Amino acid sequence: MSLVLAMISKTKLNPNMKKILLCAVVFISCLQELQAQQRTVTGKVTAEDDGSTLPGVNVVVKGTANGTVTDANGNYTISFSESNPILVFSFVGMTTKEVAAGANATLDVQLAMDVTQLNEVVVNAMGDVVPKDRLGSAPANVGGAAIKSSGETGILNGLAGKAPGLNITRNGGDPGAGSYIQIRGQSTINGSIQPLIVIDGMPMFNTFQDSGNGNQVDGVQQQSRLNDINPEDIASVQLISSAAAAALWGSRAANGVIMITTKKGTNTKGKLNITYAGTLSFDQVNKVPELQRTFGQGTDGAYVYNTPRSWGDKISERSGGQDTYITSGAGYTGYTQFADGSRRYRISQKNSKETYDHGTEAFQTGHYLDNNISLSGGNERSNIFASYSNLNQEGIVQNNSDYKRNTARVNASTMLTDKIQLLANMTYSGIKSNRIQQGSNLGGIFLGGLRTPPDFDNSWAEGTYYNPDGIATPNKQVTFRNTNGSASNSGFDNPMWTINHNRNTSNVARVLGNIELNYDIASWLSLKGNAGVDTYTDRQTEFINAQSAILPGGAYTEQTISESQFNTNLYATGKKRFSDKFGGTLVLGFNYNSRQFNQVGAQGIGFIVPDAPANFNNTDPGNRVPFNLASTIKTAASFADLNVDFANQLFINVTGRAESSSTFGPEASSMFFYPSASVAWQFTQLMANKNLLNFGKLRASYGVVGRQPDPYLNLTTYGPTSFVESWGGTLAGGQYNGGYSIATTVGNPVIRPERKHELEGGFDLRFWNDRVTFSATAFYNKTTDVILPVNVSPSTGFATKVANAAEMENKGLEFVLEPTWVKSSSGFTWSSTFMWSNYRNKVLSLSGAESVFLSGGGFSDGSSRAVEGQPLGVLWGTYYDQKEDGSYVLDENGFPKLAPGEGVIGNPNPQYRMSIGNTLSFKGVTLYALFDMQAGGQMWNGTRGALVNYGTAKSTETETTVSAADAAAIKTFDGSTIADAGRATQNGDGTYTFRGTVGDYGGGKVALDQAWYLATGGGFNVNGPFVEKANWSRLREVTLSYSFNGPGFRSATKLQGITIGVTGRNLALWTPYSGIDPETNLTGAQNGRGIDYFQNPNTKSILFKLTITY
Amino acid sequence: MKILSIKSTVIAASAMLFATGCNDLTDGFSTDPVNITDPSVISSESFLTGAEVGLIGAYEGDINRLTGMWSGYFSGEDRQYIGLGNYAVSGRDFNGEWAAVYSSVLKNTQIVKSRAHVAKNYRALGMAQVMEAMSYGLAADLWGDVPFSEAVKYPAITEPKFDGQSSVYNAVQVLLDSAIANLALPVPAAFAASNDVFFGGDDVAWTKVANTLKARYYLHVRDYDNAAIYSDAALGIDDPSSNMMAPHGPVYLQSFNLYYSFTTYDRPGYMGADSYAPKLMDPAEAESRNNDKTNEEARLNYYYFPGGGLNFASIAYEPNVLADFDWGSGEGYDGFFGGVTSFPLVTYEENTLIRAEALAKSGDFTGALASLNELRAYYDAGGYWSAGYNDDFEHLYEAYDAGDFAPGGIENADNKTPIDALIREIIEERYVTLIGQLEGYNDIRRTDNLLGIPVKVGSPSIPQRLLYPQSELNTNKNVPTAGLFDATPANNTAY
Repeated sequence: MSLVLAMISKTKLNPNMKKILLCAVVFISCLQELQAQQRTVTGKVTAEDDGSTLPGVNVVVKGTANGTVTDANGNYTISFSESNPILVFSFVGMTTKEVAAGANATLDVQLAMDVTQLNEVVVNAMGDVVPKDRLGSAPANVGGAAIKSSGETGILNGLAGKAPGLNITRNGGDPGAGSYIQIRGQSTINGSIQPLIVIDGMPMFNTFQDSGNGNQVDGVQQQSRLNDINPEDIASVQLISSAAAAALWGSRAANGVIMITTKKGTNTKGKLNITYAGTLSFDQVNKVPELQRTFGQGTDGAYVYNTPRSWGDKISERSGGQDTYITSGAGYTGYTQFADGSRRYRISQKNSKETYDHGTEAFQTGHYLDNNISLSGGNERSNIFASYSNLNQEGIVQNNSDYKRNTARVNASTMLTDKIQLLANMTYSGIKSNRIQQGSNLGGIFLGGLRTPPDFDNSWAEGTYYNPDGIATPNKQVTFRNTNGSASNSGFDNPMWTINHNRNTSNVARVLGNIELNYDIASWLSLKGNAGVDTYTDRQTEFINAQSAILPGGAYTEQTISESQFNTNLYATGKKRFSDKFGGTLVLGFNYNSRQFNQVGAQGIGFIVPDAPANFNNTDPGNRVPFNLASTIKTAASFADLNVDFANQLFINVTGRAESSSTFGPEASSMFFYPSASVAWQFTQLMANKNLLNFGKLRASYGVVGRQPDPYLNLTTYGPTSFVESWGGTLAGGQYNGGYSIATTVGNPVIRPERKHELEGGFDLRFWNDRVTFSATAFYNKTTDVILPVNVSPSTGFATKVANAAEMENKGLEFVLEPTWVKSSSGFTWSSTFMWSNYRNKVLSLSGAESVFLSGGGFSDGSSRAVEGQPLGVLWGTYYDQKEDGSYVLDENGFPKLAPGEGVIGNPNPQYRMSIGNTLSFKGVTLYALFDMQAGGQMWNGTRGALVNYGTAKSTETETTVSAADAAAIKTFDGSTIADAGRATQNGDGTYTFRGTVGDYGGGKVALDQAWYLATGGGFNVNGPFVEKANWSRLREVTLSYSFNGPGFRSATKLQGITIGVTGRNLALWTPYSGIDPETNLTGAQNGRGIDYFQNPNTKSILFKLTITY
Repeated sequence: MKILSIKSTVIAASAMLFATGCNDLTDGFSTDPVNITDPSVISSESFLTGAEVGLIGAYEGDINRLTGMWSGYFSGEDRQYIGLGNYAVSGRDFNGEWAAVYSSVLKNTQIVKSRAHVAKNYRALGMAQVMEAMSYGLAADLWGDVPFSEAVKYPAITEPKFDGQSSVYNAVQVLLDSAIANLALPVPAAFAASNDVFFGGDDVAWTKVANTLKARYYLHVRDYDNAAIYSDAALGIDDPSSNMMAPHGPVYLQSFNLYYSFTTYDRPGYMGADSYAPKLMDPAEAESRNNDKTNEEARLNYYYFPGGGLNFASIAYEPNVLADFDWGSGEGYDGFFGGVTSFPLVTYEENTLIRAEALAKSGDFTGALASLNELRAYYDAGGYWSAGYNDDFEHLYEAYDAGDFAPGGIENADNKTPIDALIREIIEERYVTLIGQLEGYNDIRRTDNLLGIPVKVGSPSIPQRLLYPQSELNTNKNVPTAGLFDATPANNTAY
C-alpha cells in the first residue's frame, strides 16, 4: 500500500491527476479486510427463464455474516469453514433460493422470477441501477419509447405529461425551440432553475442561450441543448426529484437531476439487430389570438393613411371596389409596383371591402421527416449499439424556419478480462437551424402581423417604389405604415417580408462521450472510473436587412458560443453481507468537474451596400462592435454513499458530499457539505395475507442540495462606459475618448452556494397482484442563502449587490395511480396512468426588497417577479387603483385611475397538474391516449393589451347602441360624451351606435371606446386587466400502432417485426385563455413565467411512423 | 471492532486528503478572465470621461423628454408616451434618471476625487466637482430633498438620509467654489487633457461653466443678487465658444444624440411636437411671439419640423431630427434633435438670460434689457442654430427698447408694469432658448408658470416635481413622501 502511494507521489504526473489517483488508492485500502479461508465454492447464477446471467446476486452462508455478490457475469466465489453449509441466493425480483453446498467445488444456480414482485429498477444519482422497491424516495422513470411516441423532435417536450411533478413549457412552436423544465417547483430565484442533466453518468449542458440581452423578450426562439440528443437513442429518462436522492450531485442538484440512459447493445449471441424507424409529421399552428375584421385602418371611425391603428371606418359600409388613389398632384408620393404589375399609390379613400387573416397568413403546414437506423448486437463479453439519425424539419412559418439534426452514436462495452469491463459511449450531433424573429421585436412576425389593420393586404410585401420624380427603388418593403413604399422606415416589418429577409441561423456541432472502466477487484469490492467530455460550439448569425424596422440600415451579428465540460467520477464500491438478513454497500467516491464557457463575436451596424452578402467590412469601422465573454467553473468533491438493508424489508441509505468550487467567494468557507439520509420499509413483508395488498412500502428521506453561485460574483467590475437610458438610447464610452465606469453591481467576496433542505415522505402500494399500483409522496423544502441581486439604494451609487439574501419554500403532493383495468386471456389489456401533483411555492424573504425582477422576467411594465410572501414568478405591473373596500379609485368621469405604483397582478403558478394516460392493446394493436391538464395559473396577455390599443383585438369589434339620453350622459374617457365625442353614429330612431362597450367601474356607466383603449384602458398603460386565466387541458397525444411480429410474419419476411403507427400531438386544446397556446412563454427557458407578448405560436401535429426491426 | 476502527481512521484520513485536494483543484479560478476587477489599471481620466458620459445621459436622456412634454416642448403621440405626456407616471419612470445621477456620474467622480487628492491632480478634481455640483443640483431641482451628505458611501451607509433641498443647493455652491479654486491650480504634467470630451481639459472654460452654474443655482433659490454676480461676463460664460456641449456622432447605440436615438431609431412616432413651443414661434399661429423686431422662422425650423412627415406622423409639428448622414438633409441643416447635433448643458445663452432675469428681478430694468439685447444681437448675427436655417428662413432679433415694454408697447399689449413685461419677455426668451433642456421645465415651476404653458385637462398644474424613484422607495426607508403636484421647497414662495 505505502509502496503504491510512494510510487504515485514520485511519478511525474499532473498534480490533479496525482491527487485523483491517490484518492482512489486510499479508498481501496480503506475497504480492505482480512478473510478467513478454509474451503471455496465457485459458480454461476443464471435466470431460470432465459438463462441470462445475473450479476449482483447476494450469496450468503446461512446463519452467518459470510457472504458475497455475483460479478458482472453472474460468477461468485465464496469461502467458508463450515462442513456442509446452506448457501442462500437472493436477488431482487427473484425468488430466494437455498442450496446445500455439499462437497461441491462448483455450484451453478438458477433463480426463478418472483412473480409477486415488480422487478422495476431505476438509476441512482451515480448512474447505478438499483431496485426501485428499496429506495427511500420515488424517482419517476420515463421509458425511451414513451418519449419517442410523443412525436416531439426534442427529448424535453417528449417528457411533458409523463412524469409526476414535471412542468415543461416550450418557448413556442418554432422548430428546435427549447423548453423550460421544472421539477417540484422553482427552488431558486435568479439562478438557473433547470435541473442537472446527466447522461450515462456524465453531466451534459442543457444551456439555453438567450439572444444576448439577458431577457429574451425579442430575437428568436432559442434551443435547449438537451434536444441535441436523438430521442431514438434514449433507453430511459429518470427524474431524481428528491433532494436526498440527488444529494450526491451537491451544488448542482438544487433543481433536481435528470438521469438519461442511452440504449446499449445486448447479448444477441452474435446476431446483428437492425432497426429502422421513420417518422413523417405534419404540423400546424394550434391557436392564434382572435382578431377583429370589421373596422379598418384609421382613427375616430375614419380611414387615415399609414396610421398605425385600426380605429377606422366600418369596412362593410364601404362602396367596394378599388381604393381611391392619389396618382398625381397634391399629396402624390409616388407608388410601388408589385411583381404582378399592380401598383399601390397613396390612398385617399378606402373603398375595398376585402379583409385579411393576419393571424395565420405567415404560416403553412410544416412537416418533418425523421429517419433513424440503429445496429446492435453482442456476445457474452462485448456488445455494441450504433445509430444514425437524420431529422429534417420545415417549420410552420413559411420560410427561414427550419431545423436539421444529424446524430451518430456508438455505445460499446466489452469485458477486457473477467474482472475488467470497459464501456464507451460517444455521440455527435450536428444541428442547423433557421429561426424567425418574434416577441417584442419590430421584425417579429406576430408583432407586425397582428397589429396590421384587417383591411391591409400583407401579401403585397415588396415591390419597386417609384418616387414622384419617377426614380425607382427596387425591392422596397411595403407595410401598413408605409403603404406605398414612400417612407424610409417601415414602422413594423411586414411578416410576409420579414420571413424572407431577416435571417437568423444557428449551427451547432457537439460531441459528447465518456469512458467507463469497471474493475471487480474482489467479490466484495469493485472500482469504477467514469470520465467524459461534452463540448459544443454554436455558431449563430443574425442578418437584419437594411430595410428592416428592427434596425434601419441593417445589421449583421456573428458569434460563436462554445462550452466544454470535463467530468470524472471515481469510486469504489464495497459490498458485504453479514447475514442473510443484514447487509450493506459502501461507496466512496471522488468527483471533479470543469466547465469552460466562451463567447466571441461581433456586430456590424448599418450596411454601406444594403443587399451585399454578410460581411463586417460592409459597415463603417465605427459601427463594428466586437465582444467576448469567458468563464471557468471548477468543482471538486468527495462523496460517500452507504446502503444498509435489514431482513429484506428495511433499507437505509446515507450519503454525504463535501465540495469546493471556484465560484464561491474567496472569503466564504471553501468547503460545503451536502448530506442525505433515506429509509424505506417494505411493511408487507410482515403480512401473511397478500391477496389484496401484495406490496407496500413506506419511505422517508431528508437531504440537502445546493446551487453554486454563478462565476465571478465575488468581485466588482469596471468596464467601458455604457450609459443606457430607459428607452434604449445608449452612449458608449468607446466613442467618447475611452470612458470607463464602475459597474452598478457590487461584488460579494463572501458569496456562498444556495442550499435546499428537503424532507420527503411517501408510500408505494400494489394491490391484487400488481394489478393496481398507487404511490403518494409529500415533501417540504426550504432553500436558504438564495443568491439574489439585492437592490441597493441607488443613492449609494450601486444598483444591486449579489448576496445570499433570500429564502423560499416549496411544498407539494404527488400521486401516481396505475390500474390495469382489463387483462383478459384473449390478450386484451387496458391500463391507465393517473398522475396528479401540486406545489405551493412561497418566497419567504427577499431581505427587504419589495420585488425582484427575474431573469427573463419580461418587461418593466408586465413582468414576472419574486415578491416576499408570494409564489415565485408572480406577475407584476400596473393596475387600477382600489380603495380599502375594493372599489376603484375613479377619475371625474367615472373611469378607474392607475395606482401610483406597481404590484402583484397575477400568479402564473398552477394550482395542480394532472395527466391521464390510457393504453389499450389487443394482439398487435395498441392505442394510447394522453390527456394532460393544468388547473389554475395565469398569464399576462400583453399581446391582447397591445392589440386592444391598436384596435385589432377581437374584443374591440363590439358595437353598442345606446339611447339618445344615455349618449348625452355617458362619458367617454377624453371627457366628452358618446354623442359629442364624434365617434358615434346617430341612428334614425335617435339612438347612437358606437364602437366599444358600456362599462361601469362603480361610478356609473362609462363608454369604453377608442379614447379609453388608447389611454388607460389599453395595454401600454395598464397590465392588470390583461392578466388572464391560463389553465388548459389538452389531448397531448394519441397513438394508434400495429405491430406485425407473429411467427408466421417472421418466417415469411425474415424480419423480427414491423410496427406502423399514427400519432396525433396536441390535437385538442381547451383553455379559457384568449391568446396563443398558454403552454408557451415569451422569455423561453428562463425564470420569468407567464409572459405573452407576440411570441410565435405553438403547434399541433399528425405523425406517421414506421419501425422495421431486422 | 478493530477492523471498523481502522476503517474509520482511513476514511477520516482520506476525507481530509480530499478536503485539501478539492480546494487545490478549484483555487485560482475565481477571477474574471474578461472583465476588469482591479480599478487601479484604469486611469483617473478614463473614469472622468465615464462620468462625463453619465452627465450627458442625465441631462439629455429620457427625463428631458418627459418634462419636455409637460413643458409644452413636445407631445406624447403613441403608446406609453401618451400617458406619460398626460402626467400618468409612477415611481418607476424615474429610476433611470436617479441612477444616472448617483451611479453614472457620482460613483465615477468619487473615484476620480479619491485619487486626485493623492496624485495632486487638481484639474481632474475640479472637473469632477463641477460635475458633482451639476448632478446634485439636477437632483435638487427635480426632487427637492435628496441624499447628499450620506450619498455614494456604500457599504458604510446603505440607506442614505435625504438632505433638505436648500442644504443641497448650499452644498452645490460650496462644491463649485472648491472646483473654481482647484481649476486655478497648476495642471499636473501627466493629466490626459484629451479625455475631457467637453473642453479638452481647458481650465478657463470649466471655470466659466462653474460660475454660470453658480448663477443658475442661485437663480433657482431666488438669490438674484448672487445670480447676477456670477453670470456677469467677467465670471460666467461670456462667449458661445465656452458653451458646455455634449458631442455626438453618427453611431447608433454609441454616440447618437439621445433625442435622435429615441425619436428616430428606438421609438419612432412616440413623441411629436404638437405642443405650445412651436406655436409660440410660428408666425402663423395665434400664440406667435413674432413681432416687428422678431422673426423666429429660422429658429422654429431648427427645432421643429412643421407638418411632420419625418417619422411618418402627420401632425402639426414634430421635433426636427434631420441629420445629414441619415436624411441627406445637407450640410448646415442638422436639426436640434439631429443625430450628431451637440446638446447644450450650460451655455452662453443661458448665462446671459440668467443675468437678464436676475437684474430684472432686482429692479435693474436697464441692465436687464441690455443683457437681453446682447443675446438678441447674437441671435440676429446668426445665433446658435445650424447655419442652413438662416439661409432658407427669415430671422430677425432687433434690439428692444424701453418703449417696447411700456404699456401698449409691442411686448406689453396687456399694460403690465414695464419691468413685469420685461421679466415676461426674458422668461419667454428663456423658454424658447431652452427648448429641449431641463432648465425650461425648471423655469415653469420656478416662475409659477408665468407664461401660462397649457396644463393637461384635469390637473391642478404642471407637475411640480418628479416622483421619488421606485428603486429608491424599495430600498431606503428615508425617502420622503411627495406628490407630483407638491412644489419643491425652493418653489414654495411666489415668483
